[in-house]
Amino acid sequence: MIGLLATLTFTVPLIGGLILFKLDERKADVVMLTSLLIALITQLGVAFLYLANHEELIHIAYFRSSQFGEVYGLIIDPMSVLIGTVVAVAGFIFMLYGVEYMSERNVGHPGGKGRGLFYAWMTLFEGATLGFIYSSTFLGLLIFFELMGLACWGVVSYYNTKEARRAGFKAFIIPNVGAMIGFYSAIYIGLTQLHDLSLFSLSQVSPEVKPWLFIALLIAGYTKSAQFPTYSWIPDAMEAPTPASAFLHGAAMVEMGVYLVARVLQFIGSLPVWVFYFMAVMVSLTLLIPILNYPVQKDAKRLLAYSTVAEAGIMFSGLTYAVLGLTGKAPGFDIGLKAAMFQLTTHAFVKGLAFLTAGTFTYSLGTLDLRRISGLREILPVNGLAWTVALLGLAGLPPMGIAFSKAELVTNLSLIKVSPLAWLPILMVLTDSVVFLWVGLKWITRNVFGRPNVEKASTHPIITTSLVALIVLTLVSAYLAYPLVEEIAFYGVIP
Amino acid sequence: MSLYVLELALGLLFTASLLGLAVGRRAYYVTLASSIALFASAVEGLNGLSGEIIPFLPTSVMVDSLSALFLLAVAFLTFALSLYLLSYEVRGNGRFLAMATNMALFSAVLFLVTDNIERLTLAYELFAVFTGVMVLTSETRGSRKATWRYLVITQVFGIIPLLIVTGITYGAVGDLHHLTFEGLRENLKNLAVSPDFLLSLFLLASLVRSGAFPFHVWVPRVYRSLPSPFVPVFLIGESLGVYLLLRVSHFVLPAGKSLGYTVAFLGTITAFATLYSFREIRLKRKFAYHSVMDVGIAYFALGSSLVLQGTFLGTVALLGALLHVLYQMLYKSSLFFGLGAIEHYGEEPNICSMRKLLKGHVIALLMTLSVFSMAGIPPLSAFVSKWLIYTAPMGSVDVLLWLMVVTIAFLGVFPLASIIQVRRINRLICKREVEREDVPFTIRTVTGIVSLASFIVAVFPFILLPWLVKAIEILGYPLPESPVHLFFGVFSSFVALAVLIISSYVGWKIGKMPTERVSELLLIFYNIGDILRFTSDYFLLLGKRFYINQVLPIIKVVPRHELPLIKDYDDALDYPVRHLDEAMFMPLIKAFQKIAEWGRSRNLDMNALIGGFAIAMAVLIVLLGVFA
Repeated sequence: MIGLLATLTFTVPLIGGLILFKLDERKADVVMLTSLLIALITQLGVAFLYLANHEELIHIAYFRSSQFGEVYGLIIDPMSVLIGTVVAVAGFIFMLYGVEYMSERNVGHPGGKGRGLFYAWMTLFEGATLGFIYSSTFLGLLIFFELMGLACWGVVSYYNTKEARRAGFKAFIIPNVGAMIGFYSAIYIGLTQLHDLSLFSLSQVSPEVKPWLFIALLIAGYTKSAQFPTYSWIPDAMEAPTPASAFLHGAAMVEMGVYLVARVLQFIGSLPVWVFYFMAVMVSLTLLIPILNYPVQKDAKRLLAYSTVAEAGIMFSGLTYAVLGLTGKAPGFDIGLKAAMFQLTTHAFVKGLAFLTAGTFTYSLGTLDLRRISGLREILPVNGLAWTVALLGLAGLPPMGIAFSKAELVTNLSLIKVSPLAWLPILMVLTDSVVFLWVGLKWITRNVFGRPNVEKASTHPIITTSLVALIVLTLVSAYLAYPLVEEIAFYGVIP
Repeated sequence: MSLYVLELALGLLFTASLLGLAVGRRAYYVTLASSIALFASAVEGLNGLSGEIIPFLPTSVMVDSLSALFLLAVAFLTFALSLYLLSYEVRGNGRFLAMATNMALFSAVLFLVTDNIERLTLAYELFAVFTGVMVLTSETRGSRKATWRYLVITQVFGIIPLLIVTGITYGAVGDLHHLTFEGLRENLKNLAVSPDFLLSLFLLASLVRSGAFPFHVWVPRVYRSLPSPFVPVFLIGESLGVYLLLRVSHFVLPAGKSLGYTVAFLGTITAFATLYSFREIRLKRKFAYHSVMDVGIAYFALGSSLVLQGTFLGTVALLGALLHVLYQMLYKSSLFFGLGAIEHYGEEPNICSMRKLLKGHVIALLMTLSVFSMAGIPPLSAFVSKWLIYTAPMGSVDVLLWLMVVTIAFLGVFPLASIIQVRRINRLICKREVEREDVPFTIRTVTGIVSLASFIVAVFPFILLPWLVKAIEILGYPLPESPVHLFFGVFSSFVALAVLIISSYVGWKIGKMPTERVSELLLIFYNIGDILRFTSDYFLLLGKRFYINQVLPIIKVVPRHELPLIKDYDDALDYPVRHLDEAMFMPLIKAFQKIAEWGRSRNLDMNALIGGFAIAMAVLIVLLGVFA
């Protein structure tokens, strides 16, 4: 039953997405929302059954062969259930908001006709993401990885401007380079050495090859998550309509890079310590980029895009410490893995809130230039509150849920006993929080508490409802997620 | 039973915060109810309370006499504040203020009762955020800048050190659930860093929370921005800072003399704020600087107690620090409640508005009692606590402590001088009072209750002494047998008494002198303060120039000749972003762009092309799997 529900969770949106290529306007609204609602219900069903039966790990192999071992299958465990639920919930809220955002009432981007294509890509995007989350083999992961890339290209270049086309190609190519390096290496090794494409076989890779395979997969994750040195596709991808940006930054594309590496870490078993050094340096370089860029951004979405680079970096910091738990230096230390997934969960809602609020600037005021947005407290009070909560949340302040996941990440500082380099990522994470708080407060005081520069601005109940729902989720997400986060663990052989 | 009462108090404060968003100031009825539960918890806490509260956020609690003492003060101020605010017309956003005030009180209580370091950090952070929201939503002139400065300073120097402490102690204890003060004390040998490093991080967090040097800069701006009756919440915050340092340095981590000297020195420097208070005519800023000074004196006392740790004089200093913190919460709250009466008329509290509105009024009388308490006039509050604070170092043979206590005694002249000066200026330049409607009964009553409470606990120190002694009993320091032993047990107490009386006399004389004359005499101190301020401004400017000249050309496309025109971050907003990684991937991107252009020139549908490519690849992979 749980396997069927998990399969439906991603197949329904995939089929819905394909149908949507032929639909538009009202019909498209209905099909898109129905597909995503079914995905949400089935995903909640998976979560309910999983928690009710107190399962640990459910592995369903769909196709097996003597030569390639497991070819397609599912893994239902705390991590996939948690992240699957995040994607399904966030995706539904974002696209509910999207129905109004893509309407002709949008001041900045009047929509209406033609939105079916956007819905098609978005629904495919969600289906591919959910499929990716549950996949148990490298082949499955590769297919959904590529589908996500394709859908990303579709949504980013949707407005078909010169900038959008360029950004779309960039968003398609860069993660593909990573996929070529990471997945094709993994599949090659799976086919030639292990005769099994399953994630479970990862721990059997020979110790000489294993770290290099991990680095190859790490590159796939880095490109997908816009990490140094391939970060710039994400600020450019803000050309996408805002609901897509929210999904891309908050719950799908970027997060799936982190998820991929987390999944690999769960199964890969022991790694040499130099992998930790490599990751610590890379993540610190990544965090340096947004820290330097925050103070001079005027575009709301671009500011948030840099924050996405940083937040993904923060998730990778957790994974960096998790690597140390796979070496002989801190055997079994999995707080980093938990913290990364915790951060992924809480970040999805706060970043979604931030992007949807930025979208309301386009929708209601026709601009994303933060200098031209002022007095939200009076003209759009809910949006003003949402902007405040989102920016303070991204800076890591409580009671927003993301503060708790960052606090969990900081407990990894206990690894300074093992390696002094453990200071570096944490210090960079804390610096990022401070600089973002400084910049965020500057914009909050201007945008929310400044003198209004327009008398009135229109909004819509769907938009207000979406924002309120996300504010609530931003506040409670940590609490809801924690029981599953606690269950996340390594499955590979721990040294 | 008692933990339920504590949970009830927290639950009521949380409910009040939610209700505040919906019904505004009427939510303070619930706050008032919570204060009763807090009183009960504080009294029970004297005998010790421990366990776990808040089922959905399990938080270990350990209330001993020390935390019970602070909890009692918080309960009293919560009671007074909620009663006062029921009749007070707030000019800012009343609903958000009600929500934030209740959440700040919630966090303060959580901070005091928990012994879990992670929860303590959370409570500290929540207190900072919600007090920040209080300032922001008071919507006065300057409140936005004040919030910005306050939150950034608190985050950088307060929260981050505590987060680092949490991470490091987790490494030593190995379990979040047992990450308690007790757990840390038992696992000191497992720490990856020295305890001194942890103490210095705690010290930073304490100084920020208390608004002590060098993190005092947020205090005047915040106090000025906030409606006066809300300032007592920040006064609670000041005491939380002292509580934190007292707790960790005396009860948890082994603190050496060097920390004692550092704390005492920082306290002494902080006390110089009184000189700035002297030249200030805006009352809220004036009292804000006084508040900074009082915090400085408390830190000086705490530092002295660490230097003289284990001796009777050390105990005297520690009790002096505790008394001073508790007293100043009371008399300063009463003062700000009094200023709230002026704001109730819609006027800015300054020297003239006080004369205009409150002359001959009972509030003026109550405020006079509080300012004299603050000035250390015998036998009022600050006099009693300073007596102990001066006694300890004056009884020692420590030169450094002597130097510092003499400085503190010199600075102790100015609170009274400042008050006499206000009275003089008031008579000289302000108009006579005008007829006004009376301030509401509750405002008068609350100001009176707090003022009298401050008077009573000072004049009759034996009321608090058993609590104070019990609070430090566990440390094993020599304890006073009676109040007489405490105040007259050593010879230096007579010296301290004489110094205090002389200080009052000198303060009276200085207050009578023309302000300009005194300011000229104090010019050297103001100059030192200005040098410190300019130095910090210079380093901030240096950082900004470095960013604009060195970093900006890397991350943005800025023509070299335009670089000197950029003076601030905002000037650089319009320049296009430079992507460092693009250079690396540009050849590949260009190749794909060329393919796209080629396709377009042949009228190929790129959507179909890429879609087809993906489907073909997927089919290929599926076939590969099936045939395998």
